[in-house]
Amino acid sequence: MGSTGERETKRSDPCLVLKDLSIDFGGLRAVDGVNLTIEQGERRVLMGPNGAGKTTLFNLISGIYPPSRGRIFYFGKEISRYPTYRRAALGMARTYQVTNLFRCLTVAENILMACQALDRTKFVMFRTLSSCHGHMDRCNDVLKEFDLAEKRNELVKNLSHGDQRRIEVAMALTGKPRLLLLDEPAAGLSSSETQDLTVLLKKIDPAITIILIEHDMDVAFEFAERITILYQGQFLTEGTKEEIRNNATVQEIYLGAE
Amino acid sequence: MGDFLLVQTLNGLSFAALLFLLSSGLSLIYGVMKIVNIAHGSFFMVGTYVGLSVILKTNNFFLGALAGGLAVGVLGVIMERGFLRRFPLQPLPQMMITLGFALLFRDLSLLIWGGDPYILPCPEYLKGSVKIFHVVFPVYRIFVFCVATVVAVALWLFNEKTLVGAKLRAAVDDHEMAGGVGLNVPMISGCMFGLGAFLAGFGGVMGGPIFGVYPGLDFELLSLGFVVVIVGGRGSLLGSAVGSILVGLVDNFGKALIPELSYFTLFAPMALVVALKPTGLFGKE
Amino acid sequence: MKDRLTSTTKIIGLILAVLVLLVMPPFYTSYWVTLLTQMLIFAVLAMSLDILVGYTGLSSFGHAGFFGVAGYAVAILSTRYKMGFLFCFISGISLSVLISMIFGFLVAHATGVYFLIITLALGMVLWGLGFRWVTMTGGDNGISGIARPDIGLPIALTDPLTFYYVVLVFFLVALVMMAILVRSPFGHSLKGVRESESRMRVLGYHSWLHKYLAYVVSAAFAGFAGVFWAYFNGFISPFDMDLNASIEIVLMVILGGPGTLIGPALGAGIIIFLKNFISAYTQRWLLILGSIYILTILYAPQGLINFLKDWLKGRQNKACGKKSSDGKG
Repeated sequence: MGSTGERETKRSDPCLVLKDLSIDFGGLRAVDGVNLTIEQGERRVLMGPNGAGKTTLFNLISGIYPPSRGRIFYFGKEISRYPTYRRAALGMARTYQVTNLFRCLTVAENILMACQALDRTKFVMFRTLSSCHGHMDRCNDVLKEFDLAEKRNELVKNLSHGDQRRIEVAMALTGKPRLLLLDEPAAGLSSSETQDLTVLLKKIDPAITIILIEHDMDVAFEFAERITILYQGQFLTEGTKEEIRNNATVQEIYLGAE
Repeated sequence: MGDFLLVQTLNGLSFAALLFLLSSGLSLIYGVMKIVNIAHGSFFMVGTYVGLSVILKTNNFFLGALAGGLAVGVLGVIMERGFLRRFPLQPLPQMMITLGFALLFRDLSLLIWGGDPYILPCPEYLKGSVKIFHVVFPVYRIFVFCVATVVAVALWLFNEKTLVGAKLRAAVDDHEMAGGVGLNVPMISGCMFGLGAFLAGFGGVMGGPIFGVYPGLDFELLSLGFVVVIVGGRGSLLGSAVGSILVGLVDNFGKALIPELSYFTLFAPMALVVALKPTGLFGKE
Repeated sequence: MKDRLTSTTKIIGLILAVLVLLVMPPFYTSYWVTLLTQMLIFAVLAMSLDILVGYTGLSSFGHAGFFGVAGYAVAILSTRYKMGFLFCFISGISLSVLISMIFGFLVAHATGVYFLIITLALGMVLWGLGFRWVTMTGGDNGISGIARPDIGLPIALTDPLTFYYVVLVFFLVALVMMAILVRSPFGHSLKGVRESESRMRVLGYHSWLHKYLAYVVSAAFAGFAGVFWAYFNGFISPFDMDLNASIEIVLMVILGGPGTLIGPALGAGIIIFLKNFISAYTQRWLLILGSIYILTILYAPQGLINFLKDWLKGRQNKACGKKSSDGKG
């Protein structure tokens, strides 16, 4: 799956390696010298109190901000300076903490936007989209898989928050990504909706690497294989569920700060 | 050769002076309120027409200049308070409304003053020429340049050194915060718009004896004003000043050297700036 | 049942259009035939701008520039070099495309209001060329004497009715092409860019490139209209491409309803009609246009077609007696 002419991804390459990654905003260093290694297929949860820099780190990984310092390696390839759309083409997908869908378009139109995103067909001007069976079929499959088929012609802005969160995840998975960045997917959901979401997340293809930012402790601990804690933009500690649960410093900053 | 350069530079600078009076208001309105005021050139034109009428009646040039500025300033405030405030923070509909008004002003001017071009009479004591290094140059043009410089300094002082200026800068940077801190942002916006309009109208009368007034002046100058804002950067007084000088000089030398492609010669600096620093030379993000 | 009212309206509209545009023209006076021809030409122009404004969300205030440039190409090639229709047609559109490809590098990274200002300035640059490059363009006198071309039909195109039907054919071709374009994958991506450029980039779209292409394609169709305008009017001048002209096209799109294609076409028809009709009674055309503009923004900011759609939706919900399940559109 690596691009032609460049270094092929080895089985052993970690999915994502961050080396001394930092970003400054004016005087503020929002992310400070973060080192992180995430293996292929891993389920990593990123935690930390508000302002720890988790979403900023996501923005760095997905290419929305260029780093002030440090490097990013994706399946062995350095992508530190790649623009966002190029990283998407390499199989990076992401959801947002605040729902970021195309609100004035229908559910189907949103999914279709994701269907054609990584294809050259997005430049085709002389055929209607409905005649592109590949995309239409993929869209129908995604809609069915995420239980959205009946709502396909509804405008996104008219749907419930829970439905919208589900569409966010659906869109991210439409392009069959290799790395999925989920930014607080359970934000604003009721407990039953959260349970449905957790079931959904656990069903995701184990070959896909997932990094999850989550505040909800239950979701985080249910889902994680390893947990990384950020604090004030810096890497604090990392470990398995048990290690983190028993870590005194983590308890203090988390429970104390919240 | 030296004489030619000198004359053209002086011409360019006096044109730059008028451009500054026009574009400082435009840039301010764009920078503060994020509104593209399509009627700004119309303010310039209507101000000149009003000034013309007043001068013809009273024989007093400065009364005319003041009247032109005030009349247009009032129009600006009415436009802002009555119509633009209906679409707070929506630049596109606001721009459309200024567009509609531009058309109205255009037609009303035609109705009131007719389609003939006019040159405004120059005040007696400013007529005549003066000698600068072998070159004869009209006094009035120098006067216009001085007036524009005074206005520029006054605006700068006002902006940087006074409390009102500080309030303004706060309103520019962050509407919501400014409102939250107790600043009357709508009133500030209204006054801003009125001030910008005043400058344009005043500038129009100033330019009247040199360039005159005619139907079509509104959009011609609007475009030049936008080129200045693009080159100089929006919301920046220094940008307006530098941009005006650049555009004034380029336009003038272009007209003198290659008259057929003169509008096109504006294209070069504009393209350069857009390519290298899209927010303009002194523009903020 | 839900969409019955809308589709009935659509069918009625279609039948009316076929009647008015296709069947009835031989019975009109030549004044109306000529007016209708002008409406069709400007409908293409308005639709071309809709691709940018309505579908990509970019307000261009220099669009008349591409219209005029193609017209001038036709004027110069046909009057001075006696070139035929096909050559002029291709040259006109090519010139618009070429210029838009150059300008595109300056505008495609811009959005919103900044895009507006740059396109305005660029449009005036083109106007300036038309106005001042007197040796090439005739300055503000323009170029006159553009004869209707001979395209091999038994009746000469100087006959208004024949010329009308030729323009109608080309109008339909342009309409179909643009209709497919906005429903194509590319058109779909434009809608996404309009809604949220940053989201599109994260999905994998090179948004700059899409905007650039939209700009060029809309310029091509503007040139298309410009070619026929030159032949129709027999005369081209800088006034066909100044800021006033660009503003009128924007008004056509806003009045009709951006993002609908049919709306702007209708808007063009209305404005052309009013312009010609009102000018017969009063000089105050601009006053009326400006007032219409302001009223539209104040009371029907989404344009006539969308206003109609919303009104129909309201009507059918009342008729069906159910509460609208999807709130306000």
